[in-house]
Formats: sequence, C-alpha cells, structure tokens
Amino acid sequence: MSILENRVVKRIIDSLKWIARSSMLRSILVLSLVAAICSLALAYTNITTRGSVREVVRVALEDAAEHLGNYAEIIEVHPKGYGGDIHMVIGVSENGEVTGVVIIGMNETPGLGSKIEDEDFLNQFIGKRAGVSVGKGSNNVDAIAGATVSSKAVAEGVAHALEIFAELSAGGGE
Amino acid sequence: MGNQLKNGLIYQNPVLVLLLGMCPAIAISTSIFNGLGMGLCTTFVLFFSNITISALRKVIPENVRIASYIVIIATLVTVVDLLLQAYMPALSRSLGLFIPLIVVNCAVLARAESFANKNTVLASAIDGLSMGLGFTAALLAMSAIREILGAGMLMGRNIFPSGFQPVQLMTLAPGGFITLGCIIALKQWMSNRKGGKA
Repeated sequence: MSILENRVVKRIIDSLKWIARSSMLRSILVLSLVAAICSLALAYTNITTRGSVREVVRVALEDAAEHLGNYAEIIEVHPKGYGGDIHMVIGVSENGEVTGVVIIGMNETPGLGSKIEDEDFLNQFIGKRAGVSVGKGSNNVDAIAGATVSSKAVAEGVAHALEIFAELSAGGGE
Repeated sequence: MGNQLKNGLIYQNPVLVLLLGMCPAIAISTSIFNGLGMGLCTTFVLFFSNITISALRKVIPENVRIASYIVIIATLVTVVDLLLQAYMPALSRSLGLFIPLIVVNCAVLARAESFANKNTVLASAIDGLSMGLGFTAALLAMSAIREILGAGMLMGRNIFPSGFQPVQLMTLAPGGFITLGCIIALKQWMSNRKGGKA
C-alpha cells in the first residue's frame, strides 16, 4: 500500500515540476492579467463615454422623426441582422400603414448588408401593412441582392413594429 | 529617428510597399474625410499598441504573445470606437464596421510582431507613429484621387463646372485597385529614378 502511495505522490510532484518548467502557469497568468487590465480599461472608457453616446443616439432619434412622414406613432425595434442587432425606428399612420423607416445603428457587412440604409430599399416599406415580408406580392418588398439576411431582418423589424402598433391601438381602444 | 520616419512614410510604407491593410485602404479611400479619419484612427492604435507591446516585451511569454497582442490591440480599437461614437458621430457613422476591423489590420499586428517586441519603447513609439503616418499618407493620396474623379469633389466641395460627369467606377472597389496600382507604379518609378542617379 505505501509503495503505491509513494508512487502517486511522486507522480503529482513530477507533474507539478513539469508545469513549472514548461512555464505554462506563467503564460496563463500573464495572459489573464493582460486580459483583466484591458477589461478594466474598457470598462472605464465605456463609463466615461456612455453619456455622450446616449446623447448621440437621442439626437439621431430626433432627426429620424423628421424623415418618417405623416406618422401617428413612432415605434423602435431591434431585429437581429447579419452582424448583430439593427437599431431602427418605424413611423406608423393611424390606419396601420408604414409612413417611413429609418436605421439608427447597424453593423451589417459594408457594401452588402449596409445597403439596408439606402433610401431605395427603405422607401419600399412606405404604405405597407401588417405581415410585410421579403418576396413577391403587393405587401412585400424586394430584398437587396447579396444581402438577403439583412433585408429580411429589416422586414421582420417592420412587421414586428406593426404588431406592436396593433396591440397598442387595440389596448387604447378598449 | 529620421531614418525611421522615412521608412514608415516611403521605403517601407505599409500600403505602398508592404501591401498591408489592403481591406481598409480599398474600402475606405472614397473621400478625404474617410481616408484621413481612418488613417488617424489607425495611427492612434499603432502608436499605443507599439508602446504597450514594447513595454511588455520581457513580461509576455513567447507562446502567448500573439494572443496578448490581439487583446491589447482589440482594447485600443474598442476605445477608439467608443470615443468616435461619443464625440465624432459623423465619422463613426461613415466608417462604420471598418473601425472595429482595425483589430485585424495586419499592419498593426505586423509592427507589433516584427518591431515592437524586439525594440525599445521609444523606438517602437516612433515606428508606430511613422508607420501610421505612412498609412495615412497613402490613404490620403488614394482618397483624394478617388474623390476628385469619382465624385467630382474635393473635401466635400464641388470643384468642377456643372457639366462634369463623375466616373462612378472610381468610387467602387475596382477604382480603388486601379488607383492603388497607379500610385505604387508612380512611387516605384520615382525611387528607381532616384536610385539610378545615385
């Protein structure tokens, strides 16, 4: 029994020696420290810039309201695009038609998905009703070539906004 | 120090000689505003990443160096991104995803790997600055040509009489490659001529 125990202890000591010699622990330690310090730096930057970033978004939202046509309600949605959430606002008229769409922020692929900001694409939504999607038909819009995921995301965002509007007006009517 | 500056700006210009950072160089250089903004952001990142990595060159073990460099570079880029979002929203909006993509600009990692981890902090700082300015200069040259020909504008102002028809190709990616090729050819011709005389 004691021989076996001795062997186990020896194995453990050998492994510890190997770890120390291979400088693996040192690598782990240094990389963790670098990551921790960098996180702190980022947290600090985030805290100091947060107020201004919010202000920029608020101004962008105010500007957007001027490009939404003759709306009764502005609805803000964040559908999931190809490169994260797309921040957009939709103007809806009293009878539930889209009066305008503005993209506030997005991270879609430059040159492809980023074309969802083009007026040619966004103006297609004007006058559309609940259930709008990408495809052929009178209540549908054309997707941007090479950017189907991004186009669909915007259409879903608009459809979702119209659902919210329907719920709002149903709740308000009662 | 003078040599180092010349290296970054001319002899080892990251865009025109080393052909690093092609993606932002082609994609962003459509207007002087974008080119200058991108160039200065990259210079900022290069300068501070070179300093940090050089200062830590004896602390970071060989086998985790690339991971550590990427963490440091990514942090600096995110700081730039947040600052632009907060204080220069117009530039942040027009550069968009290309700001976060500075992380993978090979010019930044290349300088960390081939210069900053072998040289003193001061030398690395100068190297970062000169490489960044070289990058900015190349972007400025490209974006000036593309903005003049592609949009008929300089610094956002119309410079041609109203009859001028802008060349749309110049604002697209092929125009970027053509401009880059012409600038590289010009640079080669000039340095060959200089070499011939000496």
